[in-house]
Amino acid sequence: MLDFFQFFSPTRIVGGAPGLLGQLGPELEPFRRKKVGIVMDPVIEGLNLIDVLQPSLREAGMEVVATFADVPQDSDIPIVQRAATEFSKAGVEMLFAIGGGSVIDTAKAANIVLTHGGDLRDYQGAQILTHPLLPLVAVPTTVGTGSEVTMVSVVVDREDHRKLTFIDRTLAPTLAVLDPGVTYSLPTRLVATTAMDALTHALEAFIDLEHSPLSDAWAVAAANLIRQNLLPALAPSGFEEARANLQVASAMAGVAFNHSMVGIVHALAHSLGGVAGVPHGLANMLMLTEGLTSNLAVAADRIAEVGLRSEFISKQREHTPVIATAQDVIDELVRFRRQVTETADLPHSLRGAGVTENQLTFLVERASEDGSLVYNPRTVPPEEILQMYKNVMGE
Amino acid sequence: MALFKDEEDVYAVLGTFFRNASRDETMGPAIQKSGLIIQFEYSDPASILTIDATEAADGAYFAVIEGRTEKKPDVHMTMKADIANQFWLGKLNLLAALSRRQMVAKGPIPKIVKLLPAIQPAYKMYQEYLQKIGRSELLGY
Ligand SMILES: [Fe+2]
Repeated sequence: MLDFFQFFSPTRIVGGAPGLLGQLGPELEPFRRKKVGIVMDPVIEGLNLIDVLQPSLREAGMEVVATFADVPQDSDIPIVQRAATEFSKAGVEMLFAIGGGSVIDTAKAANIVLTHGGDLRDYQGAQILTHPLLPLVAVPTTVGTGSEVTMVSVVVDREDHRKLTFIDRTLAPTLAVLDPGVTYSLPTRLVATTAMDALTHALEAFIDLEHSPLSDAWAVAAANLIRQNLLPALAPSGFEEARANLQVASAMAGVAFNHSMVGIVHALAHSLGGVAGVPHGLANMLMLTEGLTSNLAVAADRIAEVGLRSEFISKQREHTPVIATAQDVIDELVRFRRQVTETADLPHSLRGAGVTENQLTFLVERASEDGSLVYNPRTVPPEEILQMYKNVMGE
Repeated sequence: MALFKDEEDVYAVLGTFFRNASRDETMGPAIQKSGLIIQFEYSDPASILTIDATEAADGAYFAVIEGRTEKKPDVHMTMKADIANQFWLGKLNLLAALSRRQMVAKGPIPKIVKLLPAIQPAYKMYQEYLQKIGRSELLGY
């Protein structure tokens, strides 16, 4: 019997040919003449994407009254508060987020402060927002976050290295723009790590407690697209179509995990980000198969099913327990990851990613209190978390 | 029909249960260690129970306060009293309840998450407790 489930995906998603960003007049028409505030990071600012967007804004009579381009790799509370203050002074009536997950999450969190006032920390929690938010247009420039379609925002509290979580249905962006053109200038390493983040979203969404037939469909489609397109997207040339497919897959994985959330792999990764500054996608990539292995005992059927349906493996083993098939899936993911790591010249171990032994205790502590664990199919004790980190520590 | 007659009934059943738990060796220490003030605000009937892990006295690991209090909670949870009963019976899908807004959690959810494994024994304890105090009618929900 199925448990209660629901499906809700309020974000309008538009995609198409490269350059879509400059042709959004029809989509922006409902927001005619609104004053726009744009959130970006310094790298994106250098790409002059605002110039690409300008014709769309002009067509809808919209004016950019504030630009905030100071978002770091993992956004934090002072950044959000500052963006909100600047936008409020400028009379911003709608937001654009152009960037990766950190940028989009900053825009979501700033939106809370802009419409609810006060201290961002007071709005941590689930479904607690009381006022309508400003319209938000999200333009993802990486191929992994999924934040362009989710109702979640994660912001770091640097004072105690914790990630604060904000979950509310109204946080989902109004419009997500998938312009493949913005991925073309993405460095190979970033394509690899962010796509592996998206793959982790898809796999965890499928395996987690709150999965449903609807989230499953999105997760499988995303995982399959990533399997087929990730390596071609890392090629030195001719990567355009593959990157476009990854961009779509990332949004699909976002829709999936917006329902069933993420699990142990993300708990391990969030901690690696907060404590050791390991980039989110790389952290997920390094911990992915450890996390899956720890769920083998309780979720072998789900791991086997997602591997088969997304065609990481082609057939189920006959006359053997399902755990053997699940193990095949994990082995294949190890192989897949090795290819990605080598092609994109990424670190193979936590040590290679800058993690040191003396951070292990703190890493375990933060991972074991991560919100993603609620959704994982089993509770993972701290000793086991420590072992998982040690297994990936490397020479 | 709401399961609890009035505010006093909530305190008599859930308040007493919380106080029992505050002396429980298996759950008490973990809750105390969290150092959290957790407030449950119920409706139908309107009532408030607050657990204060910053204050332990008389052999209890945390304090249980009935009704309004000046204390500022770290985590504030709002739900119908019936939903609370279902939760302590171990029959509520917490995640579905949060996404359906049957339960609204304000505050640092990860800190609560960390407590969930520790309160596992409470479900069975609550069932036995209801039997013992002659409120087995609350078991069926
Ligand atoms: Fe992620």
